[in-house]
Amino acid sequence: MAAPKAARRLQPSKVRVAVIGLAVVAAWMGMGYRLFQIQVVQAADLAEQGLNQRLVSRDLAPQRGKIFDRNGELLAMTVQAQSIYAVPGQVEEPLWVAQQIGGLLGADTDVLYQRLTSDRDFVYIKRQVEDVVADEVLGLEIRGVYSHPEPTRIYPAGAVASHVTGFVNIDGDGQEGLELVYEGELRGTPGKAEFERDLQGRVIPQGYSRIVPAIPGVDLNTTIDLPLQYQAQQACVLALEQTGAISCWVVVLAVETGEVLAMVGAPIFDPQTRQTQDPLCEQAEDPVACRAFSNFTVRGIYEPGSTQKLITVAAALEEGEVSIGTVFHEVPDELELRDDACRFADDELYGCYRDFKNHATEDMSVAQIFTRSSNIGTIKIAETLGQDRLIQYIEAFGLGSKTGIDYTAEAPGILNFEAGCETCWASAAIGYSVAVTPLQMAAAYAAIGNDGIWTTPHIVSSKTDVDGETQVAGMQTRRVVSSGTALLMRELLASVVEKGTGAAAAIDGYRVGGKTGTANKLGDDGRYTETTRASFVGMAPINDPKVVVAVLIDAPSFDYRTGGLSAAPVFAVVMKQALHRLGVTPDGDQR
Amino acid sequence: MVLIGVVAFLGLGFARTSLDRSAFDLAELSKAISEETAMNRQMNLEIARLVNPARISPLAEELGLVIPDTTKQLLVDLTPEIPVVAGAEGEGKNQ
Repeated sequence: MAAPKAARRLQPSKVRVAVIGLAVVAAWMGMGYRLFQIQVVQAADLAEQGLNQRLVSRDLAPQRGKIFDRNGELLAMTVQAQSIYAVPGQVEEPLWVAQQIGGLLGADTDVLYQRLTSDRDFVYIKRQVEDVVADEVLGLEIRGVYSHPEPTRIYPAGAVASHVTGFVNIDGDGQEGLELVYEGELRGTPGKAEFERDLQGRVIPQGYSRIVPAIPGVDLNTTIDLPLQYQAQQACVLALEQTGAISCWVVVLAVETGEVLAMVGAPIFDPQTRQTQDPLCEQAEDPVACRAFSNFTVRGIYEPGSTQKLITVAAALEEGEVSIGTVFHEVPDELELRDDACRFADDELYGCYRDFKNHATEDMSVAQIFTRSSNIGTIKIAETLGQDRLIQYIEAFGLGSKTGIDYTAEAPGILNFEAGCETCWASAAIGYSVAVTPLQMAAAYAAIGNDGIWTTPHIVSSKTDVDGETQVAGMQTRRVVSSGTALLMRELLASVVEKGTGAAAAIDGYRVGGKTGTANKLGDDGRYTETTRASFVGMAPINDPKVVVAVLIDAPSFDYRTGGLSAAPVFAVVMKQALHRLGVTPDGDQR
Repeated sequence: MVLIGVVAFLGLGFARTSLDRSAFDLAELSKAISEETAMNRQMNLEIARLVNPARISPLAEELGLVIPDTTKQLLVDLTPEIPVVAGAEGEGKNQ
C-alpha cells in the first residue's frame, strides 16, 4: 500500500512548471496591462506629447511689395541675403578670425575682435550680405561662424530715385518716403506653417501639417519716369557745382493728371547704405542740418518771391479788376507803405518795397509789370484786390495747406496775415510773408496750365496685389480760375521767357512760359540777408501745356543769385528732357 | 483567404511606401521651385541694375553718344497729286 502515499505528494518538477507558468502568465498579464495603459488609457496624452516633439511651428515672412516706375522699371525690391553671425564661445582664435573675415567683408577688424571676444552667445558680424560674399566667409570653415538667411531691400536705381522711394531700416521697416507712407501695404501679412519633422529635420509625409500662407505685400506702380528722374538729378548736381549752392530741388508734374514725373534733389543719398556725400551731414552735430535725406520739394518751405506774382495777377484778372492792357500810371521803383520805411537801411521798419532793378517812374501795363517782374507794379495790382480776396486766391491755388500728395510729413506752408499787420498783404503779393513748398508752386502753376483746374499731385498711380488686381489712384480736382484767365496768364508767362527775366528757360522748338523768383533768405537774427533762394517755375508747350517744372536753388553764389541766372537754366534742361520723354510735339519756332 | 490577406497587406505597405516616397520627392521639388524663384528674383534685380540710367549714361558718354535733342517732327503731305492726262487741253486728241 506504499504507492498511494507517493501519488498524493506533488512532484517538485510540476511545482516548478506551475510556478514558471504563473510567472509567465503574470508577465504577460503585466505586459497586457501596460499595453492597455499605453494604448488606451494614456493614448491621447502620449500621442499629443509625441506630436509636440515632432511638431515645428515657423512664421512665414511675407515678401515685401516691389516699387516700379511708370515704365515698369524696378525701383525697390526685396531679395534673400545672408547674415553672418558668430557664437563667441566657439571661436578659438578671435584675432585671426577677425582679420580674416574683416578683410573679406571690409569691416573694421577692431570692432569685429571686440564682438568675437564678448561674453554674448550670439553676435552679428555683418547682416544682409550677398550670397557670394557669405559663401566666401563660410568657405573658410571657421568654427563658431555661421550664417542665416535674411531678406534685404535692394534699390536697383541707387540714389536716382532715393527721394521718392525713401528707404527702410536694417529690419526692413519703412522709414521714409513711399516705403513709410505705404508701409502697411508693402509689408504684407505674415503666415504660419506647422508640420511634423523627423530627426534629420525633414518634413514627415502624411504627417500633421497646417499652413497659413503669407500674403505678399502690394506692389506700387508710381508715376515717376526713371530716365527723367536721372536727368533732373544730374542737372541739379551740375547746378550745385556751377553755382556753389547748398542744395537744388526739382519737381516735374504732368499738368492734366497731377502725376509726379520726377522729384529729385541734390545733395543725393544712397537708400541702400543710407549714406550721403553732403558735407553738411558729415560736419554737422545736429542731424537737422543734414539736407540730403529730407525731401525739400514736399516738406521744405521757402518764401517764393516773384513766382508768387502769378497768383496775384491771376486773381486780379479773374476778379475783373484789371486786364492785360490796364496801365498803371507813374509806377516808381520804390514804395513806402509806412512813412519813412525806406530811410532805414537795416529793415527795422517794415514797409519799404523796391524793384529789383532801379528805373525811372513810368507807366506800366499789367503785362509789362509781370514780364519785368516789378514789385511795385504788382503791389499796385494787389491793391485793387484787397487783402481778403488776395488771401482767398492764395488759398485757392493751394498755398497754406497740404496738397495731399502721398508722401510723408508734407508741409502745409505758412500764410502770414496776422491781425494788425499793415504790410503783410503787399509782401504776400510779391512772394514774401508766405512760405511754400516747391510742390505747392508746381501744383499752382499746373492749375494755370490745366485751364484753371487745380489737381492733387500724386506719386503712386496704382497698386497690384497678389491676385493681380490693380487699384487705380483717384484724382481730386477743383477750379481756381476760369479758362480765360488761365489762357491770359499762360501768355504772360510766355512773355517772361521771350522778353523778360526768364530768357535762360527757353527751349528750341517749344514755346515755354514761366516765372523767375529771387527771394532773400532770413538770417538767424530775423533780418533778410544777401543770400537768396532762386527759383523758376514754368510749363510747356504754352499753347497746350503738358508738363510743369519747378526748380529751387538754395543759396547760390552771388553771381548766380537770381532765378534767371541759376534756376532757369536747370529748368530748360529738365523741361527739354520731359517733353522728349513724353513725345510732345514741338509747337514753336527756333530760338 | 490567408494568401489574399497577405497580398493585400503587402500591397498596402507598398502603396504607403510609394506615397511617402512621392511626398519626399514633392518636398524636394518644392525646395527646387523656391530656389529657382529666388534665382529668378536675383536675375530681375540684375536686369534692373543694368538698365539703371546712372549706370548707362556714363557708358554712353564714353562711347560718344549724346542725349537726344528736341524731338524733330517731319510733316509729310500725303495729299495725292492729281494726274495730268495727255490731251486734256486739246493736244493729241486724235492719236
